[in-house]
Amino acid sequence: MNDVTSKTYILRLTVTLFLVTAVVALLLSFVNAVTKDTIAEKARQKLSAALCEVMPEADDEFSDPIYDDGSCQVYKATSGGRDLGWCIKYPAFGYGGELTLAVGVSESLEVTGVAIVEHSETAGMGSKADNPDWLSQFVGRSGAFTLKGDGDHIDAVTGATVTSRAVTAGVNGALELAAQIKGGEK
Amino acid sequence: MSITGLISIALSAILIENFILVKFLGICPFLGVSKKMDTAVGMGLAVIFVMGLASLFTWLVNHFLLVPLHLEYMQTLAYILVIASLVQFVEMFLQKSIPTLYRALGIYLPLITTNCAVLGVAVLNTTKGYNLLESVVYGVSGGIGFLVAIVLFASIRERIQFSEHPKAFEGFPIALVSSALLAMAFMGFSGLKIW
Amino acid sequence: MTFKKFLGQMKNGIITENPSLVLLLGMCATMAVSTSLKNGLGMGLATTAVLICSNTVVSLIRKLIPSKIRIASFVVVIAGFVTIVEMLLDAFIPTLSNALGVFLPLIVVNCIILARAESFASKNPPLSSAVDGLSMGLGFTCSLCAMSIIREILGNGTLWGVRVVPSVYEPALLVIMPVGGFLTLGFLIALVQHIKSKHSGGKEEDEQ
Repeated sequence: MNDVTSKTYILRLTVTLFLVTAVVALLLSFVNAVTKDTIAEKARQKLSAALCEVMPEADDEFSDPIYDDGSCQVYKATSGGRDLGWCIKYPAFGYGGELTLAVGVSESLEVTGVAIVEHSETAGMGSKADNPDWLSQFVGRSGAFTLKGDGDHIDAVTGATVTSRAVTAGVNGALELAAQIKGGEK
Repeated sequence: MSITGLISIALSAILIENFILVKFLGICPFLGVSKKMDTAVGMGLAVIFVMGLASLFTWLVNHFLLVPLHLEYMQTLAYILVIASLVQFVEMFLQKSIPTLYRALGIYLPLITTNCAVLGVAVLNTTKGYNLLESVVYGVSGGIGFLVAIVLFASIRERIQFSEHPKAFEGFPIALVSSALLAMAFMGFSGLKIW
Repeated sequence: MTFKKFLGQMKNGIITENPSLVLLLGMCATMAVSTSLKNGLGMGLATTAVLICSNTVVSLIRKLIPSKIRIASFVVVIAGFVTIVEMLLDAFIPTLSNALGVFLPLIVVNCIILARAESFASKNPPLSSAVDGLSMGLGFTCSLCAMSIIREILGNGTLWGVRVVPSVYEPALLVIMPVGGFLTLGFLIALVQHIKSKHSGGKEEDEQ
């Protein structure tokens, strides 16, 4: 179309676009500075609430993980100085991406509770797994779990096999991690 | 990363989690340019190209710029800028060096900037934590999934023109209802177990 | 701006030129997040907020931006506001930002926003651009809510998470799955076209 290729024109284009981007970036860093702490605090509260839920007898102090590899975190659960076991934050991979599980494991490697901290499963389907009744199937049992269709143990949520399988795999992973920590491997 | 892992990423992007029919990304071009088979093929090829390149460049930007500088919150802004300039650059490059390809794909390229499948694949690569190779594979196969869906759909639409349907369903509604049937067919893949 | 003109613009965005049901813009988000009323309303309001802000700013800077880099600058402005909305949601309503997932950053490429910036805000003064953003946003929200209400009741038997259908009815999961998105939107647009051809003026299309 119009062949305006003179240097000043191109310079003007570049400078304008740069200015627009710079102003927007500045604004973003400002909002980020304001909201950053609230976001981190909210996430921490949510995790600690979930960790308390899966190990009800424990004192509600989960500040320093004894093991942290970026995706999994293990917290020691104690009650008045007595060791109860471990509360584990563990990732699982469902239909809509990553889920974050909180799994409580006792000293004798039995599951004390399972909770879903965060998920992005389809509303009304995968999200049905985020239900205390379903999650309580794991409580008080140990060993590697499998879904009913795949073998035994756990009834899958109707219409959410992928999510059920993901949660089951996550709980198994958390149990294994607890066993390794108990055995002093990690 | 094993080769089977890459194959499973590719298969799930093409069939199980098809970008259009399952993830709802890129619906506008899917409905907009699927009236004729040859335009559909052109758009599909252009999308594969851009999605692959976008995955590559956004990964580089994320790992060498955003993460080291702790600017993860600028992700959306940075990605859309990368994609917009990438599309512009590809357009100029094709025009100068491969004019035949440019004539085939040229008119679709500007549309791709606002194709949410492209930004979508970049964001998904980051949230899924894929490495460079996995990102590119995911991008390219996401594009292939787009091509498969749009080509199937275009051939359906060419027939719809000659069929009778209620007047109220003229145009978009009948297209949406037929894509619902196509999506239903793709649901069959969701049972596909991968390694 | 007079009150009458304000009303006229509102009616235009919500009814006569409803973005998802009449202009057919922003279909991805419409179908993807309308699985429950909570998500639908949240997405609609988030988009409305971005639309109002981006329309106002685009209109303010419309005379300063050379036309060659117009689109690029608009996209940068929009991306900025989307990120701000994202951060605010993360900080104050994390459950919602979690549920909307990848579709929150994708508001950037929602065609409604760029289309309004390009076709309205870049040619009109700030105040009426802001009103245009509000009315288009609300129109989008209305149609999203209509979709969500239908899909949540049929597919899950609930509304706003509360069971409204007697337990005899076994919810049709299909309606919540992607298939249902295409189907519901198809039938809604057909309904709109039907009403339009009857009244040929086309009013009150998306009343549910």
